Amino acid sequence: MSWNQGGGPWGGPPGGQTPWGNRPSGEGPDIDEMIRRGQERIRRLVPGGGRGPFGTFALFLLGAFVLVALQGLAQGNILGFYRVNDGEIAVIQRFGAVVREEQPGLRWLVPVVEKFTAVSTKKALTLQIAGGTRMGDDSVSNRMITRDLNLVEVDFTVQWRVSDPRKFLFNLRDPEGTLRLAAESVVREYIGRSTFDDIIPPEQNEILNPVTVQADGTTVPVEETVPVVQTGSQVVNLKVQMQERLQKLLDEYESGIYITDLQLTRPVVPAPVKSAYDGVQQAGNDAKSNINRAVVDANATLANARGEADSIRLQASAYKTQVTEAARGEADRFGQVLQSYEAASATAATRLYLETMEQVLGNANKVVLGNGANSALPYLPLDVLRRTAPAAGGQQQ
Amino acid sequence: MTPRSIIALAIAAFVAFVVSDSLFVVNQSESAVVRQFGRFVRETSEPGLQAKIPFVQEAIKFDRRILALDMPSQTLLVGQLQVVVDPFTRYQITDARAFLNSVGGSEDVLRGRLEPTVNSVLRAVFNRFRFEDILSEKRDQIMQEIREQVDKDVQAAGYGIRIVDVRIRRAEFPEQVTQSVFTRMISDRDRVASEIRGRGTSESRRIRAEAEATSTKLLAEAQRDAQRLRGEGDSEAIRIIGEATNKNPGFYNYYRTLQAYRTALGPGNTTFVLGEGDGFLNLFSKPSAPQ
Repeated sequence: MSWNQGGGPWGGPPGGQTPWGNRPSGEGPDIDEMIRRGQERIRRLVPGGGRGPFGTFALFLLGAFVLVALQGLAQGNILGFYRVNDGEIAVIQRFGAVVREEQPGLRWLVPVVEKFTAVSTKKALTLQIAGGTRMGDDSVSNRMITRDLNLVEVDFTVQWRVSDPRKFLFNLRDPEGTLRLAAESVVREYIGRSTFDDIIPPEQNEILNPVTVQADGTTVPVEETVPVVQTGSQVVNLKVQMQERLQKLLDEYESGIYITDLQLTRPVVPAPVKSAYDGVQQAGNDAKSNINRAVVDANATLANARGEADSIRLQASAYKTQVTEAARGEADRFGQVLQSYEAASATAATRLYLETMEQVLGNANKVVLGNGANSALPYLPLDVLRRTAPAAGGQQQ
Repeated sequence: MTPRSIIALAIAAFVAFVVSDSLFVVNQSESAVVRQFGRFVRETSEPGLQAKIPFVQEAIKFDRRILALDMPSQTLLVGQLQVVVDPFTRYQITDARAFLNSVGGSEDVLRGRLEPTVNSVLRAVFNRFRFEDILSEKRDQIMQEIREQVDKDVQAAGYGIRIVDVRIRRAEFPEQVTQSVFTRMISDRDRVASEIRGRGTSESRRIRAEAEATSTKLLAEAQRDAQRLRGEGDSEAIRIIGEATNKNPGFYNYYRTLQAYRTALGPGNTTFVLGEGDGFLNLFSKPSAPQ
């Protein structure tokens, strides 16, 4: 590969097109005529009229000068003067051998004998490797095998620049192609050392961290919480390792290439697996909503229970109040009755008794038997007595 | 043009030709072999302008940079698995003379020789390992071994090159295996999904059951407290009434009995069968008041 073609980091001689490359071709004027005219013109310029040995020598010098100038133009210099842009380094070859390097500015080289190639060591270059993008190779896919024998599709981008122009120019025939192959092999190698989950971290499912709903309705994680794995860190780590390995490989080749960055731009699940993979997320969502519903139910249950418990306590408390207050009332009542009884004990007891009996018997059915009633009792038709009772009771109320 | 100038031009051209044929340029990236009527004279990797005897000697130049041999993909057996690999080899012409003599200085000819060598070494070495090894850290070691073996073979064949490295650009399963890998991945994902779903179900059940258990506990505690409160109330009542009645137990007995009569035998369908002997009727047949 020639480095005079565009596309590389070198901005050296204008590629391909020679200064005379655009001369209109076709039937030109008669060549003899041209030479004659040229000779006349030169004769006018050169002292001595271009005649004699001195004139021939001058003619020769002029021709040489023109040749040198044209040759220089072809190689991007004007009589040996050329410029090196900022960020570039010019490598000077004398008859093919590298003799020196030049820094930016206006520089001079020995025309014809020396030529320069300017290479930028600052220019950031990008190499993208994505599925199906390599030219002339349709079979290329970005599918890679992981350590757990899964397939993953990885596109990546390599950012690089030339670190050593001399090495870059003269150690590898095809530095960019080499970079491409090396990058691809390194990325595949490290993908192969990683698990699928390292490259495409699974969704963090909160399910992994079980929760429990407490009696007061707050949701707290259960103790045995799985520590949250710093996902993504593996990928970052991997990226660093890949970059180091690629750099090492390129250094072994003495390629003069420096890798500034290597990014896995698109690690994705292969299309045939995509729906199954999405299914996992779907399952995660389903499980999550399932759990959420359970939490809702649990909250309702607990709220219910709390209300019920409160009500039970309140009822009991009310009972307590009720019986104690009733007892107090009864005690007070008794105390007062007792007081009056003690004051008039002779008739009070009789009066109480009679009042009570009056009330009790006054409202009830009665059968009064005279003496000897005891013997007659067994023969009384109790059913009849009973039957009359409701009517009697009704009247008495 | 005059004949004289034509002759002068011819001479000049001849001189230029002689001079140019006695010099040759070796580029920084090249080495050259100088032969004299086919006989090897010297080899140089010194870049720059070099001299040779015109017409008699010829200079053949070679690229001494690292060259690539990107090989077509092929199916290998690694362990039990069929794997499609894309190897690539980097080599460098170290001995231009040997390179010239063995493969006529042609990289294409070399390619034809090198490919089978690399392939057979790959086959032989890979066959000894499991596929997992290729994916593991062992890969470097395996590729190193392959490189060394290829290098050894190449040295033995005397191609005048050295193998810089042999690498696997990609290693993939054949289409059929890929399909089965996908099937496995899908079933794997399905398994994970079902696990997650199952986990969700069991989790939600657990949460519900926990809530039930907690509420049962809450209610039991409430019942316990309620019984205590009731007991407290009852004992308080007993104490209060006891305190009051202890002042006169006999009267309390009397009074409370009467009260009980009133409530227990209260209005309703109670039928009393009374005889004269009963206390309430003891005046029934005694019209006179006691003295």
